[in-house]
Amino acid sequence: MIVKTKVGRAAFPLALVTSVAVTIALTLPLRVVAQQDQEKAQDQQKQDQAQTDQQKKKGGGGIFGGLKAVTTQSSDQNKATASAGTKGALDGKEIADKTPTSADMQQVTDMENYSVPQGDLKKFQEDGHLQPK
Amino acid sequence: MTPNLRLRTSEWAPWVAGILACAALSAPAMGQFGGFKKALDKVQSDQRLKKIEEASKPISVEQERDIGREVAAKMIAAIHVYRNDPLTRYVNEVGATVSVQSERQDIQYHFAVLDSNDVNAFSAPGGYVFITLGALQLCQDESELAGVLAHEVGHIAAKHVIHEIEDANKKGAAASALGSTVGDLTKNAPGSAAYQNAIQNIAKNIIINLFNKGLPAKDEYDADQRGVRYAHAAGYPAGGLERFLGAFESSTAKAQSNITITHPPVKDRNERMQQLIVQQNWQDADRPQLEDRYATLTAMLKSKSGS
Repeated sequence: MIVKTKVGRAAFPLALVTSVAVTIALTLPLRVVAQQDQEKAQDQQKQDQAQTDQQKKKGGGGIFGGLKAVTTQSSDQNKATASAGTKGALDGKEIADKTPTSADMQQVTDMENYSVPQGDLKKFQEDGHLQPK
Repeated sequence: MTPNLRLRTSEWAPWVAGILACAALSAPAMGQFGGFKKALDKVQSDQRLKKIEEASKPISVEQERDIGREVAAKMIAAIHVYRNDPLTRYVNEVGATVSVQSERQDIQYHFAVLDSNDVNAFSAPGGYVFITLGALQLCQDESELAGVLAHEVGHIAAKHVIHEIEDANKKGAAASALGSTVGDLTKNAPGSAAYQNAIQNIAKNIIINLFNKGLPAKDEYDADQRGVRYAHAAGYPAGGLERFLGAFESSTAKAQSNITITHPPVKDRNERMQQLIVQQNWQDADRPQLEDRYATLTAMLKSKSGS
């Protein structure tokens, strides 16, 4: 006995269209996820670049990035103590923001070039009765 | 009677075609998804590795000197050097006497006096040591000055600041894909604008950190121990720094100085130094403290503080 199905040649386009629809429905989320990942990666790169640029502008770098950031509290503490002194406590931010002039650079060079002649140093130590090892 | 379940070609062909079409259509999407993800992961991983590698390179002596030079220039620009030839010479003589005792002799040590009443002393990588007028005014004798300078030499010899930068960069580079300044330093040629920019950024961070936060307590204790050793090896009494800190603790200058913010408590520091001195049997009563020489060579400071 032959079991005849009702599916005949007429079902071919129907099966094809159904398959295509199912395929699209199944793969669409994958495409969307891939696109989202791509966009996310691009956004991340843009963010990284922006942060790097901002840090460069601020002069931040990432030097002490792994350490506790300099807090406002410590700056405030310095400001509080600054008012108590004749010249005041030295504030790191102010010093860090200074741009050395050529005269300042010359003073660094002078500092580097300064040396006490060996003979004079020996005499200095002898005068002080120092006996270095 | 067995039923014949065989299907005709016209019956199964549409389903096979449909399955094949499904496979054909989904393959690029699957491939695109998997391939893209893999490629993206690889690029991100490579970038991260490269940054970690660049940031993990140790800072060379030349780079250290360039960083120190920039720090010194900014300090001089902000605070100014106190120009007095006999005093500069004296501080350099004491500085040279103790620095020659340090383990680190691949750099030269340079000493200068800063025109500030704040009681403090600083060191920058590469061998730059500064002491303020305020600290010189507080010192009672040459052995105290030697102790203070030897402590600063200790920071440079142990590369405390340099290690801080290297450690922070390793952590920073590993934690994110952000640009790293040490990476910028190592990948650019000395003298280039990018290299100079990196030097300036590092110098800024060092200064802010040193003045507003300070080094870790363990580094300060280490510099104290080194300072005691160098001063003692130079022929001074080992307790010079301890006496200076004791005087600082009971002075009015304490309230005005950054030292209380940037350093561990004086009591702890002095206890540790005293332990070392006792352990090593360095309580030499006969060693010169050189009060008279100090008083003579710093006499001009008394008139300055009185004015």
